[in-house]
Amino acid sequence: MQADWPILTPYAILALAGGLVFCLGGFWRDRPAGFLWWLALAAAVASGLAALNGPARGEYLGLLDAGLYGRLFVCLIALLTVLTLLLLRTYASARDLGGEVLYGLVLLAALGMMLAAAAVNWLVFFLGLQMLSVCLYVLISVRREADSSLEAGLKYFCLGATAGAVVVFGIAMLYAAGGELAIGPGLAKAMHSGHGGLALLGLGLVLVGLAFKISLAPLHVWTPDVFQGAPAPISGFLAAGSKTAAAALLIRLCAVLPADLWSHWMPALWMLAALTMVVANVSALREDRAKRLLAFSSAAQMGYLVMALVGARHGGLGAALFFLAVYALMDLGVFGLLGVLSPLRTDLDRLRDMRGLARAFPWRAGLMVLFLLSLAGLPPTGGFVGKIMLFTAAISSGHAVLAVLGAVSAAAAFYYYFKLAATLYMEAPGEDSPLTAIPARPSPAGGLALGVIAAALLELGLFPNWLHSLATAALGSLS
Amino acid sequence: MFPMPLLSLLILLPLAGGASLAFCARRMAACRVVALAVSLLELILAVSLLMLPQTQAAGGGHWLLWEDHAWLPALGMRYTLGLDGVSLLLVLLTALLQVICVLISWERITERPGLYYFLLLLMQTGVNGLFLAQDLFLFYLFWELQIVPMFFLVGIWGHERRVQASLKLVLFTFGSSLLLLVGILGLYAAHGAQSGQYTFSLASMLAAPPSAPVQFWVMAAFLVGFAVKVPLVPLHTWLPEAHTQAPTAGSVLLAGVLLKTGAYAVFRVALPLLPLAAGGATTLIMVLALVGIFYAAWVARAQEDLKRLVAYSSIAHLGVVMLGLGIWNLLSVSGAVLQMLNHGLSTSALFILAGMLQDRLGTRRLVEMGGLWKQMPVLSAFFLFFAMASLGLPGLNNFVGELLVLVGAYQAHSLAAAAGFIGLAWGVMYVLRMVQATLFGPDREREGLRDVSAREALVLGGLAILVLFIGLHPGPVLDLIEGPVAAAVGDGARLALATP
Amino acid sequence: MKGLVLIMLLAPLAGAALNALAGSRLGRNGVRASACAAVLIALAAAAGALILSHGRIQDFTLWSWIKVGSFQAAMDVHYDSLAGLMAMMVTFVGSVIHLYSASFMREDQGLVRYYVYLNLFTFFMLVVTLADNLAFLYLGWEGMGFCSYALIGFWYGDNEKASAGRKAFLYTRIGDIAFGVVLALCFVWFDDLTITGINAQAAGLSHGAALALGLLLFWAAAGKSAQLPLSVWLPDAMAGPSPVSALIHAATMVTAGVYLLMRLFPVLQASPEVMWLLAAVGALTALWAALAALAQRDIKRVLAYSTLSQVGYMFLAVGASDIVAGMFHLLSHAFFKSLLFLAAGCVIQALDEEHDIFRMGGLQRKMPQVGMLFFIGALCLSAFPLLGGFFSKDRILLAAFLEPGLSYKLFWAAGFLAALLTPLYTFRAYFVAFGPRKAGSEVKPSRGTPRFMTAVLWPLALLALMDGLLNLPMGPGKHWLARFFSNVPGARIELPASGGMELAMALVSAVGVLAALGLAVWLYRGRAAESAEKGWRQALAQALYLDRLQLSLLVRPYRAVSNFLWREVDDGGLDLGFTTLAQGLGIVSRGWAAWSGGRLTVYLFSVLLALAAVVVLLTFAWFA
Repeated sequence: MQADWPILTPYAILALAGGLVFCLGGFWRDRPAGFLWWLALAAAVASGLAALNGPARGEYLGLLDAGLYGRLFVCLIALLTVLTLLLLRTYASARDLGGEVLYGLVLLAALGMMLAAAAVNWLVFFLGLQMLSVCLYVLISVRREADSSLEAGLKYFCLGATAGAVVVFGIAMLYAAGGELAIGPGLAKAMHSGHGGLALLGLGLVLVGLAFKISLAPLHVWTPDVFQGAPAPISGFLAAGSKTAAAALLIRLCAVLPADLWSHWMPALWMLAALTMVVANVSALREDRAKRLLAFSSAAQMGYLVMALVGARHGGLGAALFFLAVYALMDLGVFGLLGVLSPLRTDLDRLRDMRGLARAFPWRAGLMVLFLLSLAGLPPTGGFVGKIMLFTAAISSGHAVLAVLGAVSAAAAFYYYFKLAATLYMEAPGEDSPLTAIPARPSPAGGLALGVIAAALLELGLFPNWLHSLATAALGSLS
Repeated sequence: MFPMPLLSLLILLPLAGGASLAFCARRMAACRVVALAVSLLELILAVSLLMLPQTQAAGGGHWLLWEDHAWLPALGMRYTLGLDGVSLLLVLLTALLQVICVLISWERITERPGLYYFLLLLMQTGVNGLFLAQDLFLFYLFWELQIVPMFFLVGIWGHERRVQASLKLVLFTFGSSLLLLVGILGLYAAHGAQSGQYTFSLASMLAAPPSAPVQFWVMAAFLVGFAVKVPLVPLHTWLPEAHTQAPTAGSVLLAGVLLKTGAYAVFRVALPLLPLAAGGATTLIMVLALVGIFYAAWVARAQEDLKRLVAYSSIAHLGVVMLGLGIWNLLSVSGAVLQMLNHGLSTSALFILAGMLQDRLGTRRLVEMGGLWKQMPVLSAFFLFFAMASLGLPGLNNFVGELLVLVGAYQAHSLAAAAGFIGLAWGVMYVLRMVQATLFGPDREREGLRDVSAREALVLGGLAILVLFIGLHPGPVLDLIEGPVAAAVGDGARLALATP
Repeated sequence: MKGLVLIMLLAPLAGAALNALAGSRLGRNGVRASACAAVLIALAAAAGALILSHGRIQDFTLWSWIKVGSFQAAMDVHYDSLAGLMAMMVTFVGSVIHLYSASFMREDQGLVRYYVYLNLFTFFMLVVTLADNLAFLYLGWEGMGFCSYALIGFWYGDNEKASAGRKAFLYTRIGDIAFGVVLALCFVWFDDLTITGINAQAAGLSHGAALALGLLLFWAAAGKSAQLPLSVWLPDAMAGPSPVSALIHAATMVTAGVYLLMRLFPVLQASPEVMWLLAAVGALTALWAALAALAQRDIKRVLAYSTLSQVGYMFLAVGASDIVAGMFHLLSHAFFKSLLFLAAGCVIQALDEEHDIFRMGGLQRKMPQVGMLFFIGALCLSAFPLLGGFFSKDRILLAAFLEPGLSYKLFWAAGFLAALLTPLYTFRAYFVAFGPRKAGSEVKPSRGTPRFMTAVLWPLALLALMDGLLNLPMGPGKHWLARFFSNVPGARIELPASGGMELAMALVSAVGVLAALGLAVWLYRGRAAESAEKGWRQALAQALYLDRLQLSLLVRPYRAVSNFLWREVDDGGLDLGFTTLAQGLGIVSRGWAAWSGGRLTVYLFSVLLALAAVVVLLTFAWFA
C-alpha cells in the first residue's frame, strides 16, 4: 500500500496548488495575479510530468486507474490545462479577471476532470464530475459585469445539477444491480446475478448524464448559450476538458461492458450519434455567431465520436481515443484563437465583425483556417485522420447507414466551416468593424499555445501512427 | 527502384516552394519570381522523368517508378506512390499549366501575391499526389487536399459573384467526396473481411475484388464522387459558376487539371477495382457522357458570357473523355486519356484568351465584344486557332483523341459512336458562334486595346505548338500511355467477362 | 516521284507558313511573290509527276500519323491517273487564281491573311486529291472546309458575310459527320483505311453494308458538293471575294465531293440503290439549280446556281456509273466556271461592288476584253456545240439514257431540260450585263481593270474552249481521256451505244442548245429591267424557298431548344433545384437552432425528454 501513494502525485499537486492559489489570493493584499498564474502553470506542468513518468500500476485502491489509459488522460488534461492557462494569461490580465478565483478554479476543475477520467469507481467518477462542474459554473460566469456570462453560468448550473441528479440515480441503480461501486466488476456481477435489466437502466441514466456533458442531441441545447456566454478561453476549456473527462468514462464503459449488456446498450448510442450528427450540423448552418456556431460544431464532433463507439468492437475505441485528443486540441485552439482575437469589451463573436480579418491579421487567420480544416476533417490535419478512423470503425462494424448519415451531415457542415473561412478572407470589413480594437499582435503566451496546438494538429495529421498505437495500448490496459 | 525519392520530390517541391513564399509574402515581384522558378523546376523534373528507362520499377507491372513506406500500419494505410505513363502524362500537363498560370498571373495578381502563389503551388502538390497515389487512403487525402486551394483562389481573386461560386464549388466537391469516402471505406472493410488483411493498397484490392452486391454499392458511391468532379451532367451545375467567377489561372487549373482528376479516378480506381459492377457503370457513364455532349454543347450555344460558354464547352469535351472510358477498349481509352491532355491544352488556352479579353474590354459579355480582329489580329488569330482546335479540326490535337474514342466506340456500340459523331457537329455551333461574336462583325471604336504582349505570345505560342504537335505527331504520347492503358483494359477484359 | 508529290504538297504549305509567320515583314510584293511562287512550284511538280508516272499507279507513305493497336492512320498517297489529272487541274487553276488575286486584291488590307488562307486551301485540296488513307483525306477535307469558312467571311467586318461563312462551314460539317462514320465503319469492317484496300474489299461487302457505306459517302459528298438537300450554303458563299468563289466554290472544293465518289467508286457500285440515289439527286439538283439561276439578279448568284447545276451533272454521271464522263465534265467545268467567276470579279470590282446585273449593261463596249472572256465562258457553260462543255455534258446524258430502267430515262429528261435552261440563264446574265442598251441606261465603270487581271485569264479561256479535245467521241484521239483513266477502278472507256445513237443524241442536244440560245437572244437582248419579283419569279429567285424551309424547320428550332435548355432546364431546373434544396435545409436549420434559443424550461424539458427516450429505448432493447 505504502508504495501506491506516488500514483496520487498528479492529483495531489493540483489539489495543493489549487488550495495554495486560493490562500495566497485571499490573504495577500494586492492580488499578485501574475505570480498566481505562474504558480498554477507550474502546478499543471508538474502534474502532467508526474503522470507522465509516474509508476504504471493497475489501479489505486480500486478507485483510480493508474494504468496507461488513466495516465494518458491525466496527461492530456494536464496539457489542456496548461494550454488554457497560456491562453488565459493576457486575456485575463487585460480584462482584470486574473486572480485566485480564475486560476485556482481552473486547477480544481482540471483535478475534477482527471478524477472523472481516471475513475474506476462510480463514486470517484461522480466526485470528479461534480468537482469539475462546480468549478466550471463559476468559471463560466467569471466576468461578473457581463450579463450573458452570468446567465450562461446559471443555465449551466441548473442543467448540470439535473444531469448530476440523473447520474447519481443511475449509479444507485448500478450499485443495486451489481452490489459494487467498482465500474467493471460491478457490471460483470450485475450480469451474473441476473440484474442485467436494472444495470442497463442505470447505464441508461448514466448515459443521459454523460450525453449532457458531451452535449449529444437532444441534450446539446445548452451548448450554444453557455459557450457564447463564457469567456472564449473558458469555452475552450469547457469544450475540451469537461467533454474529454466525460468521454473518457464513456469509452471506458464501452470497453469494459459485458457483451450482452453492450448489445442492448448500443442502440441508444446509435440513436444519439445519428441524432447528434444531423441535428447539430444542420442547426449550425444559419448561425451567424461564431461561438454558437462552434458550439454546435463541437456537439457534432461528439456525434462522430459516438458513431465510432457504436463500432467499439471493431477498433472503434482506438479511433475514438485518437479523435478525442485531436478534438480537444482543435476546439481549445479555435476558441482560444477567438479569445486572442477578441477586443476588450466583448469577445469577437458576430461573423460580420470578422470580415476582412485575414487582411489585417494574416497569420492568425491562417491558424483559424487550419483549425477549421481540422474541424471539417480535411487534410493535412489531425482532424482528417481522426475522422477517417471514426468512419472506418463505423463501416467496418457494419453500420453503413450511420456512416452515410454522418457523411451527409458532415457534407452539410462544410457549408458553415467554409462560410466562416469565406468571411475571414473574402469579405470587406464593414464600417462598424471592431478590427481596430483587436490587439495588433497576439500575446506571447497565447501565441505560444496556439502555435503548439497548430503544430500538434499538423503533426497528428501527417504522422498519426504513434498516438494511434498509444491509444490502442491504453485500451489494451483496460481489459 | 531509384536511389532518389523522385516522386515524393515531385509532390513536395511545390509545397516547399510555396512555403518559402512566406518570407516575401507582401512583395509581388519576389513572389512571382520564386513561383516561376519553382514551377519551372518542377516542369524540368517532370520532363526529366520522360527520360526514365522503360523498365519495370518495384511494384511490378508497368510502373516506371515506385515508392512505398508504412504510414499507419494498424489500419493498413501506406504511403505508396507509383508512376506510369498515364500519371506521368497528367503530371506533365499539370507542371506545364502551372508555369503558364504563373505567367498569366504575372501582372494581374497585385493583392496578397504570397498567398496566391502559395495556393497555386499547394494545389499542384495535391494534384500530383493524386495522380501518383497507389494507396486508396492516400488518394483520398490528396483528393480532398486539392480542393481547398481552389476554394480560396476562386473566392479571393475571383469576380463579382466569387463567394457564392466558391462555396458552391466546395459544397459540391466535398459533399460528393464524402460519399466517395464511404465507398472507399466500404471497399476497404469488405476486402479486409474477405481477404483477412485490412489494407488500402490499390494493388492488393485489384487482386481480390469483393462480392457483387458490395461492388454495386461501392460503385454507386464512387460514381457520385467522381461524376461531380468530371463533371457529368446533371451534376455539373457548380462548374460554370466556378469557371465564370474564377481568376484566369483558376479557370485554367480547374479545367486543365482539377476536372481531369475525376476522369483519372474513374480510369484508375472505379472501373478496375470493381469489375463486377463495372458493366452497369460503363453503360451509365456512356449514356451520361453522350447526354452531356449534346446537352452541354446545346446550352453552350445559348450563353451570353464568354467564360460561361467555354465552361460548358469543356463539359462537352469531358463528355467525350467519359464516353471513351465508358466504352473501355484499347482505342477508346487511349483516346480518352489523350483527350484529357488535349482538353487541358486547348480549353485552357481558350480560358486564357477569355481572360485576356476580359482584362482588355472589362467585360465577358459577348454582345459587348465583336470586331476585335481589326484591333488585335494576333490575339484573334490565336483565338481562331484554338477555337478550331476545340471543334476538332484534323491536324490539331482534339481530332486525334476524338477520332480514337469514336472509332473505338464503333467496335463496341455503333449507335453510341454515331451519336458521338453527331455530337461533334453540335460542337461546331457554339464554337462558330463564339468566334463570330468576338472576332468578327463591324469594328467598334475602342481606345487603348493592345495586342498580345511578348509574355502572352510566349504562353499562347507554346500552347499552339503543342496543339499542332499532338495533332500531327501523337505517336510519342500514344506510346507513353499504351502500356498502362493496355493493362487497364486487360482488367477491362476481365471486367467484360465478369459482366453478365 | 515521292519527292515530286512531297514538293507538290509542301510548297503551298510552306508558302502559307511563311506568310503567316513573317507576312507582315515581307511587304505586299513579297507576300504576293512568295504565295504565287509556292503554287507555281506545286504546278510544276504536278506536271512533272503526271509526265513521269505515265499512267502507272503509285502508292507510298509520307508520314505515319496515328497508330494505336491495329488502328493505323498514316499519311499515304495513292497516285493514279485520276489523282494526277485532278492535281494538275487544281494546281493550274490555283496558280491562275493566285496570279489574278495578286492584282485583284491590290488594295485590300488583309492581303497576308488572304494569301495564307489561299495557299493553305491549295495544300488541303491537294491532300484530298492525293490521299490514300481516309483519315489523311479527312484532314484535307476538313481543312478545305475551314479555309472556305475563313475566306467566305474574309470581309468579316460585315456580319452578313461572316455568317455566310459560318453557314457554309456548318453545312459541310453536317456532311462530314457521315465521313467520320465512314472512317469508323471502314476500320471496323475492313480493318483498313486506305482507299486501295477498301476498293479491293468492296466486292465482298454484304448488301446492307454496301448500302450503308454508300449512303454515308453520298451524304458526305453532298455536303461538300452542295447537292440537295445540303445545297443552300453555296449561293450565300458568294459573299467571299470573287477569286475565292472561282477557286473554292466552283473549280475545286465543290467538286471534291464528286471526286471522293469517283475515288471510292467500287464501294458505290456494290449497291445499285446508292447509284440510283446519286443519279436522282444529281438530276434533281441540276434541274432545280437551273430554274433558280433563271431568276437571280446577282451575277455571282447566277453563277453559283449554275455551279450547283453542273455539279449535279457530275453526280448524275457517277450515278450512271460513268466516272469518265464525270471527271471529264469536272475538268471542263473547272475551266469555264472559274473563267466566268474571274470575269465577273473584274466587272464587280470595276463597278465597285455592284452585283446586280440589272444595274450593269453595255459593258461589252466599256470593257471588251472582259466581255469577250465572259462570253467564251458563257458559251462553254451552255455547252455550245463542239466547245468544251458540250462533249462532257453530252456523254453524261448519254450514259444516263443508256442505264436500264424508266427512272434513268426520267433523270435523263431532267438533265436534258436543265441543259436547255442553261443557255437561257447564262445568256440572260450576259446580255443584261454586257449587252448593248439604249443610251442612258448603261453604266460607266468607275475604275479601270488592270491588264494583268485579264491577261492571266486567256489561258483559262483557251483551255475552256479546247478541252473538248481531251475526249472526242470520234476521230483521232478518240476517248483519249477514257483510256488514260483505264487504271481507275470502274472506269468505262466506251459507252455501249451504237455510233448512230451517239450521233443522234449529240444532234438532239446541239439543236436544243442552239434553240435555247436563240430564245435567250430574243428574250434578253437589250433587256434593261425585269418585272418585279413575284409569283413564279419570286419562287425561283428564292430557289423554291428551300433555304427558308430549312431555316424554319431546323435552325430556329435548334436555337429555341438551346435557349430553353439553358434558361429552363439548366438554370431554372437543375441549378434552381439545388438552390431550393439548400434553402429548405436553411429553414430546417432555423427551426432547430431556435430549439436552443435560450429558454431554460425548454432545456430542462429536453433533458427529461432524452431521459424518457433512453429509458424507453433500453427497456425495449432489453425485453425485445
